[in-house]
Amino acid sequence: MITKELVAASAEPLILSLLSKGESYGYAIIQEVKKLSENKIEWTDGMLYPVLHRLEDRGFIKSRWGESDTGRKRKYYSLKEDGKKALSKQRDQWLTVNATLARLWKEKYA
Amino acid sequence: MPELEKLIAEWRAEMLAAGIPDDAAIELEFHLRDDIARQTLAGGESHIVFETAVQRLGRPASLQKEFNKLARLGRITARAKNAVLSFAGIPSRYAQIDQSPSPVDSRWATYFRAVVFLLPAVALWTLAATYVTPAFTEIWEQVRNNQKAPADLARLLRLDLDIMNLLKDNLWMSALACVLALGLLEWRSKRWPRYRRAVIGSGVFLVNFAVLFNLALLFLAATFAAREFTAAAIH
Repeated sequence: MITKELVAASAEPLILSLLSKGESYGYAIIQEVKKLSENKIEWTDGMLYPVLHRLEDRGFIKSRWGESDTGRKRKYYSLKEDGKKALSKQRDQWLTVNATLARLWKEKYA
Repeated sequence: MPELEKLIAEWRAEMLAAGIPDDAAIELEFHLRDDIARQTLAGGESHIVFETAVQRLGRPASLQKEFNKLARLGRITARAKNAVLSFAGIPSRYAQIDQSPSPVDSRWATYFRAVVFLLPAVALWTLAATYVTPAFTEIWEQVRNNQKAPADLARLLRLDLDIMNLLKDNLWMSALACVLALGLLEWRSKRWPRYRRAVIGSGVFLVNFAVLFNLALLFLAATFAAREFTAAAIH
């Protein structure tokens, strides 16, 4: 199971990456993360929303109220220009960490 | 399903009682309903489906802690912004954000703060208008008569000096008119308290800016005049 700290650290880049594919809403974001991680990344569903609100406050994403096919109200989120820049920075950082660890583990476990 | 609606209503009340902000509670409720709908479609029983969805959302206390952190950060950002605005002489809404009752009526706090921010600029301007400007006007006339002054600077300075003299001659009348206008607004306008801070703040900022601009223009013209006189003295 992924540790709480890693789940928390990866929340923002995951959300920004998902929103870079297009507009989405909270529930769909949670389901997509579960599917992509094969249920290995487990978020407490409600904890997604403070992160979304924080990203919105920082100007990385924007929201609008819309309706689902069944008429239920939903808040849709989409990525802003600043969010794309932030995502690019975070992507570089994660790739750096990933490459460093991969090199270390290749040496140790090769 | 009335029983489900009752459960959701109780859950909503619990969320709001825990201090979750209204808009967040609405969003969480729609998330809950989405999860319930998906589980029901997959064949789940209603009371189990509801419990599972609530569990997935998380406990109200934990959610409230996270939303509170966000609100605290928002307050810190707002306070930092208000501190910067205060330096610019624009009264802030800090007291409202702090939400602690002020012992002083905010109306008088606004006016007091405005006077404090205006006092240095007005004092400096009055000194300049009374003692510096008459002497400077004489010097500048000499420069202008020798046709050494750039036309744009001369025009701007002329306008500036005319305004300065007009205000200097009518300073007390202008101040009295402002005080009367504010008094009238306080007495008659129900909407004035809502706009008071913004209007007074903007007014203080504009006056401070105008005084600074005025003094900068005098300084610029004086430097130019000094250069011309120095050149004339050398030759």
